This record gives sequence, structure tokens and C-alpha cells, in this order.
Amino acid sequence: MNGFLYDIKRTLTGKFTIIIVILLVLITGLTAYSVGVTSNSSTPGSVAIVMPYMNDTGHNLTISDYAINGYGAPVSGLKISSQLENFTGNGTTYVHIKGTTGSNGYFNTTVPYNSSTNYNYNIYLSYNDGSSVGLRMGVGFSNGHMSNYSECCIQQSYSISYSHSNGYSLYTANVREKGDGSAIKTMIFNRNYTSSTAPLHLYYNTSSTFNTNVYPNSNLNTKNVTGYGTMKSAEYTVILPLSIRNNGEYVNLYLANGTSGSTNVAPVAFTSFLYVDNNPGIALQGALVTFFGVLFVPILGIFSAYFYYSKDRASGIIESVIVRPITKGKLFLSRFIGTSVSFLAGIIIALAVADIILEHYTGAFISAGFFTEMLAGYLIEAIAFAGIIYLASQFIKSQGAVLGTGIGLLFALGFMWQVISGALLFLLKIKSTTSVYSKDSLILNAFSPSYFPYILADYYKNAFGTVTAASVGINIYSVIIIGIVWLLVPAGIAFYFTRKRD
Amino acid sequence: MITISHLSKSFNKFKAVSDLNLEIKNGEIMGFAGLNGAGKSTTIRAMAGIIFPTSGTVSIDNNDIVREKVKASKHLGWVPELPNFEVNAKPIPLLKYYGGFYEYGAGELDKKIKELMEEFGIYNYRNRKLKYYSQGMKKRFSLIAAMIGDPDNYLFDETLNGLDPQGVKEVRDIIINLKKDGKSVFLSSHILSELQNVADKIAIIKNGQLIKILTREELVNLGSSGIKIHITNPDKGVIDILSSFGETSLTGDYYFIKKGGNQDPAGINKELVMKNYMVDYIGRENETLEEYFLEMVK
Ligand SMILES: Nc1ncnc2c1ncn2[C@@H]1O[C@H](COP(=O)(O)OP(=O)(O)O)[C@@H](O)[C@H]1O
Ligand SMILES: [Mg+2]
Repeated sequence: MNGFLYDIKRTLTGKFTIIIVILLVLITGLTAYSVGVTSNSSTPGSVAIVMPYMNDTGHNLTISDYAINGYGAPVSGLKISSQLENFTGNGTTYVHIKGTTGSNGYFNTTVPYNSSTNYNYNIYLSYNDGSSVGLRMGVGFSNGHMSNYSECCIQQSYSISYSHSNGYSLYTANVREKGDGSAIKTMIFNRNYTSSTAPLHLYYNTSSTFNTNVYPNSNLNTKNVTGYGTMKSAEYTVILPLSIRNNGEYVNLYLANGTSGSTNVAPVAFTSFLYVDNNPGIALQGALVTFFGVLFVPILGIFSAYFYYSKDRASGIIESVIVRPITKGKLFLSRFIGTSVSFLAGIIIALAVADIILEHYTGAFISAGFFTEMLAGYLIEAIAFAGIIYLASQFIKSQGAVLGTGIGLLFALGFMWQVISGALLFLLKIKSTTSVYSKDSLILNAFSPSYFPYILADYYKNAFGTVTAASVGINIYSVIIIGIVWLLVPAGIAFYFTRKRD
Repeated sequence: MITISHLSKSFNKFKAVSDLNLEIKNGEIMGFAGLNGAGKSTTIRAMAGIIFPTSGTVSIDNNDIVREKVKASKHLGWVPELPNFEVNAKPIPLLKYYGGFYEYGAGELDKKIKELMEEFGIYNYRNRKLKYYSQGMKKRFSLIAAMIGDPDNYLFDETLNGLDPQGVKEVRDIIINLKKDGKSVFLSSHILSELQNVADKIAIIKNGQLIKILTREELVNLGSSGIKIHITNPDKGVIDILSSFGETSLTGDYYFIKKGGNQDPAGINKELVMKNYMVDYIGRENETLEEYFLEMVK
């Protein structure tokens, strides 16, 4: 085998690589566990959202309850205990209705009906196994129309709304997309859909404040919104292209009939919800960013570089390898690439384990984007620290001095960097309340690899404190440049010197 | 075949090796003698590709050690002055690592390692970590590490130094066998006489400069015997007695009579004893070689 690939293989199969992977998995796994057990969102599979529908069929009231879970799939075997309150002029009468949803998620029943009175229909739910899902909801019925759906106690990050207009009886439920924790799947159900129901066009936009001014009469200028598609059936699944960057924004959905493509349409339904990204990666990242990002990853980078390269170089042991058929440059690269690949493998495995743990507790996986963002941030950070140690080893000839330098770096660029950059800004007499301060502290953060994951996360969320990341210069270009600099510059300079110096 | 051409190596301003030219042919053992600090290890490390020459070139079977490092190193084995290996490693995995840089077929490397370890008598200690090896075992391991790629050229840096007489004999035999196999061997030492019985030629280096190359014939002449004597109660009269047997000198506590004339140690001993001198050592010695050497490199 080629000496270069051969040496990489040896690095990767070494004991130290296994230790790295185990440590990474332990720390991220434990972090994910603590994030998971403290999260208050239920597993989507055990959530039940019920959409009651009542229809006047002359002498009877047809009641049809349709239940879905947190993924939008029909829930069978859900026990529904409900009561129909009949408000008449001389008091209220009650009809108790009990039943269980069938495999298609429906529970249908019929009760005698008197059109001159108003009805309230209240529902209590529990699963067949006896566990309560804690939901209580109600719907009113008067003048032959269903109205004002009210819900109580739907678990965090699920939502449902009801609107009735122009003959449409529409539920809009926000549920989870299996396999993508950050995606919100919006499901629209038309409970009185028939084959002659006119299609509805869906438009949406986002706003930073709650939008009250559209429903249902004012015309909607379709230039201000984005068209999503057309609903031509009883059920319509919508996954809006929202990302963590929309976290905290209001999402407005407009359903309108009429010609698709016309400039002004009259919405028949409107719903607005606050977008809260329920990606468990947010909580994981928040938990990892301090200990893991500022202390553990630097230690990982520094000590790996020491064990894979500096120790052998400073002790002269590497000479017994240099005399083999391989060049100094290739030997350097093979060790460095081996180190980097072991970080890559370790972080991927660790995040994957964390992902599985989080899914177990929250029902959602870290999104692919978040996974990639965390992987890139910590990988580049670890490689940067390793690169700095590889560089230091070109000039420092004793093992003790290399280790000392590493520990110094851990202090300076790791957990003391905030103090150091704060002191620098103080010496530069920049007031901490000014916007210059936050910009300058950001610039200083770019000078420590420990803070690269922060910058990347800010970019990914497009939020830097209370302002957008873009407004302080965090954009795709600056992030890529800083990343590439940390990835290649320390190692590149070290590579140059190893080929030129003894 | 190793060719050193105009090799110089400086550390900052200090010239450790200057303009060295040497050629070691196939089947030739070249000794490399010089006092401590003369530049032997520096030369050897540059030849092995560990340090870069400041100027000049070294080629191994016509491959430049700097520009064609991979090819050159394939044909070169290096035994360091001091064994320096991963202390926590066990010999077989480490030899496998080294051997992996060469082209071995499946199973061949394992076989080679076993053969070499058996030949050098450390196979029984194969499960012991290198840090628990004795100095002699470490040295043997170094030799195996140099031979693992089965190269045609060898650099031995003071390899005979620090071995017990048995070890010296063993290593000498190994080196002579390498020569028989047509390999070129470069062997340094700070003791000229150590090289005398093994080298075909000895290059002598002083302050980084080559001062002489002694051939086999010169070695034989220089190395011819004289008589070395130690007396426990010496006085001025000793020189007079000994001078009658040949040119006599005193180095330290030892008297030395250069060769020539009637030099029967028994006769000299009898003469001294009759004059009431107490002789506790008398024998034929190759002192002149060392003397010659020290004189030259002073
Ligand atoms: N890395 C180095 N840096 C500075 N000086 C060195 C270095 N290596 C060797 N020297 C100097 O070069 C000279 C020759 O050393 P060396 O080749 O080890 O001698 P020898 O092996 O003949 O005893 C000595 O003066 C030594 O101090
Ligand atoms: Mg030396």
C-alpha cells in the first residue's frame, strides 16, 4: 500500500482514535440525555388531536370525530367520551356520547336534533390503554353551522385552528414531519368536502408581528404572498419551506378560491401561527456550546495532535518512520488527515448517538441542516486546534514545551477567550453598550477557533443576540472564509515548515 | 551503492559537516571514524533523509535522498546511535508498522519479522513491551527495524559501541554477512580499532571535514602489533630497558614498544622482572592504530 494511505489507516485504527470516539459519544450522549429528559414536548406518536364535525341532516345531528396524532396520522383506538349540551329556553339537557375511533381515525354517531336550539359539544379523550392524553375540546353548533372550535391543553408545539366560511369547514393542524425535527407539517382538513367543493389556493407569508387584518373579507394581493399549491381534496398536507431562520416569526396562511394567478383574491380562510422551531438540535446545541465547545473540543484537538504527531516528533521517535519510503510532507499530511478523519468519525458518531437519544425523548430527530451545522462547527474547531499544535511542533523541540503550549492555548483561545477579548475591548475603550462593541467582540471571536461553532450557529439561525446575524456581517462568505482559514492555515503553515526544516 | 557528493550541513552558523565526498560501493564496508562531535551522526542523519543537507547531495542506488526520497529510502536501512522507539509498543506490531511501508505480499511480512526476530534471538521476548527490553535487546531490535525492508544499503551509527564482546562479535558477523550479500555498509565509530577488523576502508572525519581515507593495506600496516606493558612500580629506568627492544613511548600508565626488532614479550618480561619491576600486564596490542588516529584527529 501507498505509504501515505498506509499511515492514515494506522492512525485511524490506533487506540487513541477509539478513545476519542468513546469520549465524544459519552459527552454528547450524556448531554443529549439531559436535554431529552428535561424536554417537555411529548412524543408525537402519543399525541391526539381531534377534529369534531357536526352536520345537520334534518332530524338528526351527525357527529363525526376525526383523530390524528402528532405526525398527522389517523389515531385508532382513541376513547372519546363526550357530551352534547343542548341549550333550550328552559334549561340545558345533556346527551352523553361514548365511543372509540376506528382504524381510519373516525368515530361517527348520530343524535336526534332540534334545530331551534344551540348545541355545545365537549369532548374528553383517552387512549384504549387507559392513559389520558389530557385533551379537552369543544365545538359549538347553532343555526345549522358549526362554529368556534376551542381547544385546551394540546401539548407544546402542536396547534390546531378552525375556520368556517363560505361553506368550507376547515381545520388547520400543525404537526411534526417524521424524520425532520425542524419541519412543521401543516395539515388542512375540509370536513365538509364533497366532490363539488371548489378547489382552494394556498398562499403564505411570514411577518414579525401578529397579522390580524386579512380574514376573511379584505382582498389579498397575491404579490405580497407566496403561492404554495391548490387543495382539491378533503385533506391537504403542506410543508412550508421554513427553517430555523424563521424561528419566532408569524406564519400566515391564506386559503382562497377563485382563479389561480389573479392579483387580488378574497381569502375564505386565514390562519396565523407563531413559528417555533421544535428541532431538538437547538436545545442540544445550547447545552453543548459551553463545556463541549469551549473546553472539550479544544482539549480533543490539542491532545490528539500531541499524541498523533507532536509527541513522536519532539521525542525523535518519528525519525524511525521518516527513514521509511515516505516523504516528510506526506508523513505530516497522513498524520494530520488521520487526526482530522478521526475527529470527523468521532463527531458524526457522537451526534448520531445524541440524535437517537433525542428522538427517543422528543420524538424528533435533529434536522439534517442542524446536524451538518454542528458537525462542521465542532470539526473545524477541533482541526484548527490540532493544526495550531502541529504548527507549534515545527518549532518547539521538547514534549513538555509542546504540552505547555497546548495548555496555554486551551486557556487563551478556549475558556478564557471571552475574558481576554473583553479586556481587549476595555483597553480599546469601547463601551459594552454600543453596537460597535458587539461587532468588535464578534471580530475577536473569529480569532479563536473555540468560537467558530458560535459564529456558525449565529449564521444558521440568522440571529446575533437581538439583531440579525447578517446585520453584523455574519453571512455565507464570512463564515466560509473563517472556516477555511481555521481549517487550512495553521496546518498549511506547519506543512510548509515541515518540508523545509529539519 | 551510496554516493555522498559535496555534502555540507550547518546548524545556524555552525558547520557540522563540510564538503564531504564519499562513495560506498556494493559489497563494501566503509568505516567512518572521528571523535565525538566530529560530525558522524550529522552525516548519517543527512544520508538517511532525517535532516536536510545545507548543500550537496546524497544518493542511494542513484536516487537522491531529498528529491527522490521514497525510492532512496526503499533501499536504505538506518540504525540510530541510540535506539529510540515508541516505548509502549510491542516489537511485532511496531515492526509490522515499519514493514507496511515496503511492498510485501500477504503473510510475507509476518514471516520476515519472525525470521529476523529469531535470527537476532529476541523472538522469545516478542510479547514484551520495548520499554522492558535491555540495551542489547533494543540494539538488536534497531537492527531488525533497519533490515525489515531488506534494503541494499545500510547506515550504522556507532552500532558496535556499548555492546559486550559477545555482542560486538555478533554484530560484526552480521555486517560481514551483509557485505557478502553485496550490500554497501557505512559504519561509524569514535574508536578506530573497533572498525579495523571489519571495514574495507575507513574515512576519518575531523571537525566536519574528511581528512583521510585509510585503505585495507594501510590499515594492516598501521594495525600491526606492538607491545603494551603495565608496571606497578615504574621509575625512570624502565624506558632505558625497554628502548633496547624498540622505540618506546609512555601513554598514561602504559608503555608501548613499536614493532620491529626482537620483540618477544616473554623475553621483555624476564628482563624487567630481573630488575625487580613488577609487571602486571604485557601483551601484543594494536595501539598504534588508535595512536595514529588520535594523533591525526587531535
Ligand atoms: N541539531 C543540532 N543543532 C545544533 N548543533 C548540532 C545539532 N546536531 C549536531 N550538532 C553539532 O554538530 C556537531 C557534530 O555532531 P554529531 O554529528 O552528532 O557528532 P558525532 O556523531 O561525530 O559525535 C557537534 O558539535 C554537535 O553539537
Ligand atoms: Mg554521533
